[in-house]
Amino acid sequence: MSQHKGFSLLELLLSMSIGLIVIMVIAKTFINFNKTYKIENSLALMQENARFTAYMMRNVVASAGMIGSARMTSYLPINNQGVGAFNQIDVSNYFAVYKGVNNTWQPALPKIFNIKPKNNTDVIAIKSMEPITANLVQSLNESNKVYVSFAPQFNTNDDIVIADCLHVVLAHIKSVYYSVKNQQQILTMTQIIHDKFDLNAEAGKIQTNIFYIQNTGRKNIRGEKIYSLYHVNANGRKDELIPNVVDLKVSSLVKNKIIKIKLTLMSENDAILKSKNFQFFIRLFDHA
Amino acid sequence: MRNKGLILISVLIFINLIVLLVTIGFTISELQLRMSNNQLQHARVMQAAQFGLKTALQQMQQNPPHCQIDIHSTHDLSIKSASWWHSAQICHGKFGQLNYYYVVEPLQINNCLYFDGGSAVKYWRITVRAEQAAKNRAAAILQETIALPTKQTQVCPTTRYELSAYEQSWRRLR
Repeated sequence: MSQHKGFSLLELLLSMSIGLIVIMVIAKTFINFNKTYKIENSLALMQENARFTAYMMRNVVASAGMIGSARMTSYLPINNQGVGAFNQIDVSNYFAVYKGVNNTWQPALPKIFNIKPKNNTDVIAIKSMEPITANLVQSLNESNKVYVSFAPQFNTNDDIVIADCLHVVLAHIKSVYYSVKNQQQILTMTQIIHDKFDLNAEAGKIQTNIFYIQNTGRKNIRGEKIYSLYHVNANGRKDELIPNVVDLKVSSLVKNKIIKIKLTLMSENDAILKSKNFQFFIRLFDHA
Repeated sequence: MRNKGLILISVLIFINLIVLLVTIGFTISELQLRMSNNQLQHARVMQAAQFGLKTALQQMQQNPPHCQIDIHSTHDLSIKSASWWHSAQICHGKFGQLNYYYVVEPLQINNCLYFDGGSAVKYWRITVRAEQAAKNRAAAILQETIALPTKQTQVCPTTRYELSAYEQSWRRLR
């Protein structure tokens, strides 16, 4: 008989069964690995987003209420001479949390913010002077002209703080003349500033930063609405910071000195790990 | 035989592909490692600057240090070169492997505030720059205003208040 007679039915069945079992085990392992990879990948992405948010917020929140050399207190004189409601700053509003409860906010969101946050999520508003400031190069007394050093440059319609250790004035810039020759800026304010400031008092822009969650108008692969964390800066410009943030809750600990921020982030493409909570703490400078 | 040459070429292409993949993998890992290192260095430099501020405050509570300078704008201080900070007139110290440098600016006296046994307070501004010892790569600049007790120079025309802390304001310039 020929040596090449082929396999018997039994051999064929046995080898096919063993092969099938091996393939099933490999496939199952692959599916499990793939699932784990997807979970780990979305978790890593969410953690990265949460870390970036914490970094951004820490930088802004740590400066809340900084208005120059003196600590902002209820007895530090702050005179508003021309700044609109959006950038007005005092001891009552330098760090404000608007709690989202029952589809409304407590206290009510100021219309001037011009934002549409997601219902039942908190909104944070932080006010301060920008850290890089210019110095007065001429003393100021009963005038609407303010002479300051050449940098940082100010622009028309900027809201600024003029401050020393004794008092603070909030003022609005009508026009700016840049004198390259004298290396100074001449700021014409909308109102006459009645307070007296000596040489070397400082002038800096007021920054109002708002963090909130809003619908982006986009949808994910599951067909759900995508919500993002938004940031409004001093000029009222809105930027989408982090996508897939569905909840923001703020609470204060140790008499408003420590702020706890809880974020809920949504996974972008994986239905197994749908969402995860992250929380971090920020120390608030005590201005009370 | 012709087939043997074909196998050699296929194997060479395959090895090249593997080398390419491994190189890409290494590059990505190295980049991630460098990013983590930078983040760590940045955090350490910030720690050193905070430590420098605390040291300067303790020094100020005993005696104003020699490194007093005229009042500068925060912009000017933030753009000062590393060599300016390394000059002899600047106070300095170490925090582990990191160096910190600080200067002090005398500000105004507030006769309407009192604190810690004094009849008025004098404001001082401390600016600290911390950096890596070996390379001047990562640097952080922090500024804090403090109030220290002093004697009244004028009568306060309004109500007098008692201060509750030395630290008055804090900001990060870089």
